Amino acid sequence: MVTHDPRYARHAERGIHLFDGRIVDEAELAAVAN
Amino acid sequence: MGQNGSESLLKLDGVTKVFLTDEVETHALSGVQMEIRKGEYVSIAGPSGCGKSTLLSILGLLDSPTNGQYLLNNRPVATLSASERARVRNREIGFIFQSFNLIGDLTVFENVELPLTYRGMKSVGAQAARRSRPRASGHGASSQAPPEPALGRSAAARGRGPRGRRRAADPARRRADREPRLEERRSGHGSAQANCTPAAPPSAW
Repeated sequence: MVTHDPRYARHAERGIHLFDGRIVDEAELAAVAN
Repeated sequence: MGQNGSESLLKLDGVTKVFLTDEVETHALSGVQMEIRKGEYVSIAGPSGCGKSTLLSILGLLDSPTNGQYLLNNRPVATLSASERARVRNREIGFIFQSFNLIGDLTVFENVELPLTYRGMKSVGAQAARRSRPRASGHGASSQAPPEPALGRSAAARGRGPRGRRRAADPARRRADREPRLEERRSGHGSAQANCTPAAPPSAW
């Protein structure tokens, strides 16, 4: 999923944050309750 | 190829992308390192202009990096010919776009069917037409519902077209430009991502 909206990004298992063409943060995300 | 070589789906190593215009050199991506393993659900987020779309284009084999290496299934993408790239896009990669990219002149059914015909599958409509033709002089020849145009429907209804299209195509990998549908987020199946094949013409078919 590619998004500019962090609310959507949180639904993934892993989040990669891009800024200015670089990966600035990468995190395992807590599972979202179904 | 890394310690997770057998599981690695895609891996970027020092990927840069520079766009040149008359006087400006734009560094859209600078030394991107990342790896996504099979079955992972990964979000790539960032503000407008951070390089998301450039990255997506490279991952989807719609564009090539200026420098660095992209391994797809442990295979350097740079070694693929144009027709191999087209095959991978056709068979292994799916997109769903926020704007859906439905073709307005086609019905929903035809929109779903479109990527399948790109891969050489016979049109179901044509098959159905052939099957029903012998009975055409009798009754019940046109039991199909009237065609429903793909556009001019609610956003939610329009969304069913590309999602159905992606499901029909069943690509090995799926990538989404923008957000997933709520029901997909809830469905909890562990395979890769959300949705849909691009409607781009298959350059090598």
